[in-house]
Amino acid sequence: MNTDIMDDTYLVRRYVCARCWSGLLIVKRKDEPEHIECGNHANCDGKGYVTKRYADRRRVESVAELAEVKKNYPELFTPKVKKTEKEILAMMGY
Amino acid sequence: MIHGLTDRGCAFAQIGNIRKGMTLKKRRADGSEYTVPTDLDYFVVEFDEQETDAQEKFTAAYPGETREINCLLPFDDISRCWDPYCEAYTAGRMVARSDGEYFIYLTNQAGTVEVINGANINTGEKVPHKDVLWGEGTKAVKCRPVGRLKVIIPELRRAAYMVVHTTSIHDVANLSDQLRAISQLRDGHIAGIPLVLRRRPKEISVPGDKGGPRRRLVKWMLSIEADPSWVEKMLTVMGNAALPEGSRMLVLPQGESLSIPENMDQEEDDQIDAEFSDMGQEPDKEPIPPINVQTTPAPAPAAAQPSVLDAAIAEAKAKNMEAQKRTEEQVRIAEALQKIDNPKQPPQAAVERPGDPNWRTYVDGPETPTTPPPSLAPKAAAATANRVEQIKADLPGAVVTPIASVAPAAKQTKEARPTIEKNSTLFWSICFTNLGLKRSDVLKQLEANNGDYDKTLADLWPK
Repeated sequence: MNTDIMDDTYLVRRYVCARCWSGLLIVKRKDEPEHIECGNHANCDGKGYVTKRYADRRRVESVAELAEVKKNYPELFTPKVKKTEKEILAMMGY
Repeated sequence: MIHGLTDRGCAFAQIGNIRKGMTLKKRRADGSEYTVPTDLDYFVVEFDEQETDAQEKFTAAYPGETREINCLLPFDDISRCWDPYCEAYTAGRMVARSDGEYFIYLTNQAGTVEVINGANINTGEKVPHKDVLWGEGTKAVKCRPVGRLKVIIPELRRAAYMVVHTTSIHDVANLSDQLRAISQLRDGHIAGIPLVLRRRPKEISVPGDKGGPRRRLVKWMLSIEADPSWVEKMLTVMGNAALPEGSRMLVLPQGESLSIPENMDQEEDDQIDAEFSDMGQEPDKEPIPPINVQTTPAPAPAAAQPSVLDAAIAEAKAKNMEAQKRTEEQVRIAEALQKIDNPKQPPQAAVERPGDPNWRTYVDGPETPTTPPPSLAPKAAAATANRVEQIKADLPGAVVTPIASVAPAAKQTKEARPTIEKNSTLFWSICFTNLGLKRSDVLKQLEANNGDYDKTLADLWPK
């Protein structure tokens, strides 16, 4: 997205990627105009923006939502199997 | 695939989307490509790029093109799971959202926000909904119905949700009604109800091409219903809960039937009646003049539908009638036998009902026959034969088996008589059990022998 520098700083401060809610970056490449990209551009190709405030609010809400879902569907949460030190090291290839 | 959907850092994350169609690329005659949104008759399920495990589980559970998906709603409140709105979009952003009555969010054509959280930024008043925001014809920016439903797919075994998208006004109205109806089955609680999301063909009215008349087309609409097996259980529970308190007890499993003779408490009743009769007559009361009341015949009750309860009551009545009939028959037989039987005589015959091997009654006394003394054996046999004849005459058709013929002959002999020197249990046992004597007769003989037990036993012993 081509922007001028004032818009860039405004967008980067107040908005995040609409898809992955990561921060935005002002990118300036050679022979290309300055534009804004998702900071998680290695994994995300999102093009829209949402406000940072909205993303933060949704993150907080989702914690409460998860607690409610745990209460409604306890069977979805299988207990974590504790692994020994040797097993963890073996998984890591030692 | 959706890139980066699960990177948002949410605890309860969205891992994919479920859509009704997809955009297909088409090629024009000049070779250029364009995309066309195409409605399909099955679900298009898109998972986040990182959710390969969830995608494999889903593919294993729903191979191929699926038209039915099992799902659960994450929250009890429908409004938190189901977002039906009228929304307007331009190429870059959402410009309006309304609930069909007032705008919740609205921007003007320049992009300035006018309404937020349902209130005008300047005046604080609600702004009524309108379908067309600006523009004309094909370039008009219009509000269109949009529905998003958050669902948990149980086969994935994940505490994460997927969003079902629809932009059909029929789907929005239909899903809203169906979800409301399902929640009423459990008093407003919808979380935990196993649901099935389906694509169902339905004939709907669509606008004609190029301004032509409207026409009817079959479209595969969304439908959500509770799992039929769950509904069946729920209806049974609701049916039981609707029964009155007393009737619910009849629903309990049937216990063992107990047949009690009618005359069992007759003696007690007679005594109570006698007590009341001794108390004298009730004081005379003034006669109450008869009152003539004109009554209209009561309307005939409406024909009730036969229910499980009625069937159970009818069955219980039939069993009671059968037991009563059987008891009456037993009493009748016992009375008939009593006429010809000596009540002090040990039982000598068993009466069986022809064709019913389980029915067997004995004539007076315990079931175990007693053995008469050797000297009384011929007399007892003769008496038994006589009684059998009498029973046969009184109860035609009854099979009468003399028990005395089955019982072993007495083995008591004179040489086997024990010596009794003092009062003992053995003496009385021999007198009552072996000799079948009355206590008064034994006492008379004992008194005559001056309390000599051995001599008394010798005198009473059959010669």
